[in-house]
Amino acid sequence: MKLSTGARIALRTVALAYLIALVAIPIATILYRTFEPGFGAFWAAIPPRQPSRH
Amino acid sequence: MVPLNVVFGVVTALALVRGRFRGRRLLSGIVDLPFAVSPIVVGVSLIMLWGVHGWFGGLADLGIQVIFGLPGMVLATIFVTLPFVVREVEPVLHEIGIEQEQAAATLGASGWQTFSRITVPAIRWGLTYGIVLTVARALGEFGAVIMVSSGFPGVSQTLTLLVHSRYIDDHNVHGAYAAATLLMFLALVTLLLMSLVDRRGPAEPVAASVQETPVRSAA
Repeated sequence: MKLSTGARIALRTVALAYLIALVAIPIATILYRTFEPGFGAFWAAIPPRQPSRH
Repeated sequence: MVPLNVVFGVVTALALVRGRFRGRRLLSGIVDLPFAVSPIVVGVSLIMLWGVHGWFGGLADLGIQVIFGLPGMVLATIFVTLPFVVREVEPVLHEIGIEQEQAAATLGASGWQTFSRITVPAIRWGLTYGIVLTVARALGEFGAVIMVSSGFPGVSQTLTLLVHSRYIDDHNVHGAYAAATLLMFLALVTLLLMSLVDRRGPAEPVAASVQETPVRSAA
């Protein structure tokens, strides 16, 4: 199947946009939120604390 | 759990591809069931089966606690990860056919030799991928495990359940993010390790030497 250059680029754009919107952005967001307060805060937040009594 | 799935997966895949027996279709359908059934259904049915009032509930009297303990979580995880190895190995077995194995058999290889020298190296890629999927799913399984786990941190809580409980119960949002990132990181490490192991393995030389031996002895 031979595609014109325009169609090929359009298809690639659609595929990339789809992947970015549905896969890359959610992962990037959670990574950003995790490391937003710095790596130290991330490291400190990993071990389970004693369950707090509400 | 993973070794168990690997053994069962390879045997079942061999049976499904090479075997011609009654009920092959049925077996194939049963293997696909965990894909079709929602994991939470598995959790409920496990509680029904293994819970104190279930069919096998007598085990609790013997001091073996299945539900709300590690055995229940293992059972649930095995159920949901069962099809991966089978479904990844099956197409590879179809692809390679049986010529090499027949050749090995005519050269005097025993059944086990044929399997370990010819079949296993040939299906390694499918096997690796199946293992990666199994591990990833086992790490990430939520629905089935949350039903049968008591969720004590450090005792019977998976990392996935920890993310959930931090977010929902503790309102510890950053803790949940941190645990989620750790979970992602672990899955990634598994993937990298598996591909490393696969690249270093001796598949090619072994297969080549087995194939070359008769040529040399004939010459």
